[in-house]
Amino acid sequence: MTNLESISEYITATFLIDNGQDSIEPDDNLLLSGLIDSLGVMQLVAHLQAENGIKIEPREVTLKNFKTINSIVGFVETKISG
Amino acid sequence: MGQQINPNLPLYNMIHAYRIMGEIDPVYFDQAFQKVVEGSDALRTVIRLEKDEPRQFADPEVKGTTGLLDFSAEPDPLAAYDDWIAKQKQSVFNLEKQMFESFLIKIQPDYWIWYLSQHHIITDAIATGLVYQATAEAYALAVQNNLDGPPTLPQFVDFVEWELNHKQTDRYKQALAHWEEKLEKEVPETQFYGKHVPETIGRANRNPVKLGMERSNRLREIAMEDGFAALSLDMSLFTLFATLLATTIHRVAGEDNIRIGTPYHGRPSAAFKKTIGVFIEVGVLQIDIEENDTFVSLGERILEETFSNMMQVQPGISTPKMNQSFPVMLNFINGISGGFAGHSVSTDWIHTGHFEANQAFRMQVTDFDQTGEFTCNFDLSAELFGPNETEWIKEQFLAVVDTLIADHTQAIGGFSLMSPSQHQTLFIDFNATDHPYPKEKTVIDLFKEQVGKTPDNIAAVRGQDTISYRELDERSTDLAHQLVKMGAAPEKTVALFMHRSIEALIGIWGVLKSGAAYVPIDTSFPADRRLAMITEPKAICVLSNTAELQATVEADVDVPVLLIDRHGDYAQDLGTLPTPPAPDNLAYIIFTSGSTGRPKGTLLTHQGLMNHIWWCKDAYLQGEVMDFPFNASFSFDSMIATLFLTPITGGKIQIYSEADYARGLEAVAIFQEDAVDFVKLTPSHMSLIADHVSGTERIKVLYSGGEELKTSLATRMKEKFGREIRLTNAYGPTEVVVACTLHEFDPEKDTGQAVPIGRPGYNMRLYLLDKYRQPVPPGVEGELYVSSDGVARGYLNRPELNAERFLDDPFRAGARMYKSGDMARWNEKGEIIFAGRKDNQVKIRGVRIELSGLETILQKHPDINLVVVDVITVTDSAFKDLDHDKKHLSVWYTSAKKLETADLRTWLADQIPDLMMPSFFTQLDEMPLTTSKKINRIALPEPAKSEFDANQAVEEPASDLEIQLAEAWKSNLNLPKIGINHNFFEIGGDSILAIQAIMQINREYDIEFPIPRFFDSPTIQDIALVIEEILLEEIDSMDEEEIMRLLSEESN
Repeated sequence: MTNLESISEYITATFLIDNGQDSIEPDDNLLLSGLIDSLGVMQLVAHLQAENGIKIEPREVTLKNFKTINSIVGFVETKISG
Repeated sequence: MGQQINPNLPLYNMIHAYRIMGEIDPVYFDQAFQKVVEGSDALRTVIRLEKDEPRQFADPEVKGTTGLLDFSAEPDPLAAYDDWIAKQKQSVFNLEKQMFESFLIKIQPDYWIWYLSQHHIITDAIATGLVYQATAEAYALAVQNNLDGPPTLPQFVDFVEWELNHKQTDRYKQALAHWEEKLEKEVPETQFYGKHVPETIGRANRNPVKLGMERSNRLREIAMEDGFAALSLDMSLFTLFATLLATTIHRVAGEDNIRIGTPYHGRPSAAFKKTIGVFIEVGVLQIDIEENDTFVSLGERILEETFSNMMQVQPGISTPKMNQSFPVMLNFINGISGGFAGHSVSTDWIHTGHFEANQAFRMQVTDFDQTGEFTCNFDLSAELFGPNETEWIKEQFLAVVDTLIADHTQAIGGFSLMSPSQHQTLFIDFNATDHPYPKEKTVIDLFKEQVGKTPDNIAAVRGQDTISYRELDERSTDLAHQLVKMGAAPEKTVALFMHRSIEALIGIWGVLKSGAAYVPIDTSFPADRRLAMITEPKAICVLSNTAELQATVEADVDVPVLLIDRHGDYAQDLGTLPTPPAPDNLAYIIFTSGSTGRPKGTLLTHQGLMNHIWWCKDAYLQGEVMDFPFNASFSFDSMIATLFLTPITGGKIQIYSEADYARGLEAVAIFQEDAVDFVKLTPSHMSLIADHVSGTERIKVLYSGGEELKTSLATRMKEKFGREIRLTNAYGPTEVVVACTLHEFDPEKDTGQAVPIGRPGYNMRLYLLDKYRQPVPPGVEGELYVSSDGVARGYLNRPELNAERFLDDPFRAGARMYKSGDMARWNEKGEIIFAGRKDNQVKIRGVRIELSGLETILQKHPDINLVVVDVITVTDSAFKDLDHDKKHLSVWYTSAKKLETADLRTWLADQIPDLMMPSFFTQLDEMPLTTSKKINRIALPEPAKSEFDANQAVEEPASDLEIQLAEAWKSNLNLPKIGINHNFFEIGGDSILAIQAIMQINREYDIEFPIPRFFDSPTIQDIALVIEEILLEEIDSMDEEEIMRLLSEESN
């Protein structure tokens, strides 16, 4: 499974069902969709850390890195390769 | 547990009142809420003792009964409801029985209120929202008679189990360590409007501030911008509100290190988001303001801090220490109420009126009813926020909000928090002081004009000796010619080492007429200081008025010393002087104590002097001609009005020379002689002469300057006079020519603790600015800056200090301003209230002293290692009725040797003027230090005690008289014991205390103690002898009959 697939799947399973929404596109704005609240962010961060063996610093939890699924994937890949 | 500590306070109750705009059936409602309670273990929680341990458990017997009240028949149902709620919100739960209560109140057939009060042990904001929604849903079902089946909400007990496991994890332990470390950092106490945050539980008031739709919409837009935008709108809005709040605290309290407590919902998974119960955890935002912060840069750091908190605020993490670590709390409540049975609802969140200890305020942002409009509820500690402070914090917060809305990319220090109307009143109108004055002239021109008008008037008197205007003019012109021959010219200086005397007046005018500036040196100054004051300004010569002074100073310096004798012959060289000064030339130099121990000379120009005198002419004299006393050292600038205002208006100077009076007695003499109209005193002196004013008839203006004037003292002085007099108060640093404000005391209007300093004089502007040089709004501490034509050129040879203190006025092109170091705030009446010094400069009896300067001098003593100088206020004094704090300088030092205080005093007396001599010296074995290895001033011991225990042998008083005197001195000097051989002036006494001691003796024994004899030998032993002598003389002068009568009175 690619990073994109894995992250999409997690977000769909964790947040989408809860929210009663059908689907989410890789470039949908997660913030504007109201899909993820503050608890969700922490869950997502914890998931990404555990799944990828990376450490995410508070200063990295920015809109730039977490705006869309694509930006999360990009961020995680940089962390893994960095 | 708080409730056990304060069982009678409803401090921890969360009360909501939902106003339902429609018809409600109370029977169905009761069923619905009962169902919700039945289905929630949290709501049924009680606390009972089990084996003496309080334990929480859910009691199935707790029922959700709702009380029914009907106010619809009342004349004013809502008023009846308000009365009811005022009492009901104070109701306290019996924690063993039930921790909530529910009432349904009928206001009108289609207007009901549901009142729900819950103890915070069982609920939080999200849970309250859940209870509300569950009740609304159950009500809808009850109406359809469909209220069956078990409730579906997850139970709190599941979370309790989860939490127990979680506390064993590494993640939890790491978080604990994180908070431990974070709270380690010391942050200064945050004070609002100069008040301390109460340390005990107190009262509070809730003040809802509705932001309005326009502001709310703009804030929602800005929350999505860089700096604030986070991963959810709520987080972004939280960051934005935290930025607004941090900026407000920073600008209002002046604090750079800010802690804001903030609750987190604490629900660890989606399932628990549906659980009723208390999950809330409090985290702490640690915000360090940085230079040049903008709203955006601050928001970015707050966002990062918020994420860090979210990772570290875990269930069960909050500790009492965390909860006590912040003065302000921000609660962004995203819980909502929603409609009820299809009716619209508006939610009141009711404050119980009680408040946590150690907190100043909480800002709770809500939009319960989802209108889109934010309400910022300011829950304010009532001890800290009175009606004025409450208005201020609200309007100052809104000023920050509106500034951010106008441009959220701007600096957080780039604007004033004043409202436009405050800016108009306190900045523009207050400083509308433009007034013409003879700019092209100097005081010499005005003096000449006056000589022309009143040549034969007496210009000055000293004892029996007088001088006319004409003679003062001629002698000073003659002197000026001599000085010019010696090289005097504009920008040169001549030092005056003279007593207060007619010769000193000739000297001053002579120097000014020669074009040079004068440098006045008090005759009591020690050699080092004298020398510095002559050599630093490169004085071309020194003037003195006695052979003794001349000899003294000739030993110091190699410039010529001229002796002026007003009775001696003079050349009568009265021709036109070649080098008169221009307005921008130097007029005089006043030396004040400097932070390096070296006195610093302030350079004042003729223009500044002229502007000041022109204002004084109108403000002081109000059209009259007045006589002024020359009664204080001319080495400080308090005598400028006497020296220059009198000779240009035809008045007379009455000279009270230090050569003729013991120090401190000049002021007494002024009131005994009653030969002048205008008297200027420091409040210290004023309290001293209070008993002498009642007999005066002439003195019409009493002017207070140099120190804060207490209203109680001012009132007492007015009463003591017992007739109409003007009592004025003033403020001003030497650096802007004596004084820049004036206030006529009015006992009816001036009811604050201190008398206002009044409004600025001609062409003087007074600004109260914060560290960003922005005008501060009411209540907020700022530093006083004075801008005027009279601002000094600067300090002699102190380029660095000049760059720091003498600045271009940013509010008025071309003007200069002086940064005074005096801190103050505006009160609600638009008056300036002092708040102390910014540096460690102090004023003792009107004389400015830099503590660090004194420390530097003492550090040079060969045997002193560490030294600290501070001011102590002696409150425990027999003279506390004098309405004036007794401030004393106190020295603490360490040394390898045992040093004698008397020796230290002698050594120090050669370096500093006696006005600066500390009252107490305490040798310590070890200097108390703070953790950061600075001297811990708070930990310094009481001075007097240690001095006496350590350094002095005490010779006990023996006779009744000695014992009485010893008691009085102990009390006056705040000493635990005293010996009859101790010198009054070596154990903390000063001239003012001496005069007070003499007055006390006079009252006590009904005699007139000869004052010089006190100064001759100021020990209890010798003073007791003098008193006995006087009493015996009195008895000798009585005849037998009087003695018999006295004796019989005694025996009765």
